Amino acid sequence: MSTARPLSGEPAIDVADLRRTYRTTTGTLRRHRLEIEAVRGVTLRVEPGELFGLLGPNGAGKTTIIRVLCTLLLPTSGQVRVLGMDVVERPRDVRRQIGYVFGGDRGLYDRLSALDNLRYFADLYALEPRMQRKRINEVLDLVGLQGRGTERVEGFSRGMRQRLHLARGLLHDPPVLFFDEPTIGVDPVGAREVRQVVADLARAGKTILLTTHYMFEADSLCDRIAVIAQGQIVAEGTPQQLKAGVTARTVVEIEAYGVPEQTVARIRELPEVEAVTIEVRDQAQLLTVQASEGSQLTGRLLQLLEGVRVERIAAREPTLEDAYVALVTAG
Amino acid sequence: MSAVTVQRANRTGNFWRIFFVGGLISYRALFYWITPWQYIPTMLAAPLFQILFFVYLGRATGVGSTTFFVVGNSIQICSMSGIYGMTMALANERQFQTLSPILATPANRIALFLGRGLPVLVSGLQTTAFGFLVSALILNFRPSPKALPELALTVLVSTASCTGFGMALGSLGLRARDIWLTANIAYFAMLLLCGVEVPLHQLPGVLQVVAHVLPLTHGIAAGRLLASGHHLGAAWPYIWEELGIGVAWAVIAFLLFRYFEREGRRTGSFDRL
Ligand SMILES: Nc1ncnc2c1ncn2[C@@H]1O[C@H](COP(=O)(O)OP(=O)(O)O)[C@@H](O)[C@H]1O
Ligand SMILES: [Mg+2]
Repeated sequence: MSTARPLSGEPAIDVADLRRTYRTTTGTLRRHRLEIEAVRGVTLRVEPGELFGLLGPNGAGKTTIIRVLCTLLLPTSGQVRVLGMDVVERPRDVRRQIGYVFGGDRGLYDRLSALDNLRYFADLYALEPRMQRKRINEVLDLVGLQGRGTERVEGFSRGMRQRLHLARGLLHDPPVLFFDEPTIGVDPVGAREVRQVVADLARAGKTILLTTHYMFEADSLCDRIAVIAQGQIVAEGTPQQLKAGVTARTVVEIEAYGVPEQTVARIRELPEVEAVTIEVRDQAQLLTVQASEGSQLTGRLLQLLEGVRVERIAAREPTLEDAYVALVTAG
Repeated sequence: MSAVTVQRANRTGNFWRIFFVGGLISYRALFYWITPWQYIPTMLAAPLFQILFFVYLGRATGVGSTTFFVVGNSIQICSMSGIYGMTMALANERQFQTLSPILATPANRIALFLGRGLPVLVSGLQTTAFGFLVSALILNFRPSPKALPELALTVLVSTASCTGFGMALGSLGLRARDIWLTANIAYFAMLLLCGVEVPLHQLPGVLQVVAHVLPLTHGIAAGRLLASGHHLGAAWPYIWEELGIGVAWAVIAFLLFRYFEREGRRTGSFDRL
């Protein structure tokens, strides 16, 4: 089953100008029609064997893209192909070649054992009955659930559930895998184990598209990353390339009390300022200001902050996190 | 990544495995009342009291024979499984949010869908058989031995047909939020409309029309004929009609399921509560 490969030169995952809108209604008496443009013209290509990360905040459109690729959602417009097969025209062929793993603790049969969950899906994925047992044990091993197969899923921790999701997605040994926030809600140790499995799969030659809103996860796992915000890709490249985009920047952190909103607005208006974020810590506020050019910045900020109690102000080296924040908050 | 080479099952074999094995696994996953201390009270004890209630009511008021009530109620109680069980075996996918992972598989939808009816059918037969058995033991219900196989056939067809109807409710439940309200109404409406407790001809005309497209109505009529000594020939038209209605409901159910699958892909409604 893992033999299908795209024609040489063709990407394993090919998304061209994908758009997807949702129609919803609000209100019970007076119905308001609402159109949400979840994905607004996304184009991306993932080469065979590549581990590609789709990084973006909640609501950016990541799940929508994944669900279109997994044939669970139709595109509003655009072309989407997996291994050269159109997801709208040949959904059943696509389904045979892909594994779909999503994050969260739902989506499993709680009252069944892990083994029975996998047995059911082994049939749904048309695994030859005589090798099902061996393969199920193998995937349980792979995700570190060996020996736990006969336990009911309702007693599983969040991390174990996530690993069972993984095992289910791998059963039919598909060449292309989609992971939608696979570490969400999993504790740090469990999340590291999940990432390890993903990394192993990539090393074994699988094509993987992974979504996450954790910068470091994308950084540590992915060959290439696309940053997505409000349904559009705002940057794309290797983790190094994305970092290079911000190394020229200056980041200034200010800890202060009671900064008025007009002051923040005026900081944003400074010509060299690219992004401002505010975090509240106890009574204090932490302003992080990113600027393209920093020689005069600290002085100008202090000027604007006149009359405000400033506890601390310091410039620091930009990180990949800053790059991400700048990208998803811009515009 | 895999030492075990993953081989694809042969198509026909896979179809029947999804139908039989898959149907049973998903039933165990989704049917709530599966443990004995849930199954016995809901699927056996409560239905038995329904039979007893109506038979003794009939005896006390002199409005209907024991045969009339035993056959009507014993057949009708299969809908504990056919309606509630079947609705659970489909609509509970919503609760576990397992519809997406299932529909992301290439599995044959006919096998996937219809296979879920088989355990429900077996459970329904069990309830009805129990009803008849206890009626024979304590209510002095005595059909002629010659009629027993024919009565069994009638029960099989009726239970299957009720399961088909339950599938339609289950399909609706994949989309509708409060399918349990509808299932409750269906169960009690069928007590009235299928001629279980009241002869059909005493109902207003509109209700009689509804009764004719519901499952069980014709099966119960056939069962009463057979239990009171009529020939199979007299019951055949009813049995056929019951079968036809059951098949029609199963087809409607499957088409609804396919329609919701397509709609779900269009609107993005899978697993959104
Ligand atoms: N089925 C749906 N119906 C209506 N709106 C939806 C639906 N699914 C997602 N959305 C909206 O589309 C946007 C993108 O959502 P999503 O793709 O889930 O983003 P992400 O996975 O990046 O968090 C959000 O605004 C979300 O509320
Ligand atoms: Mg998401």
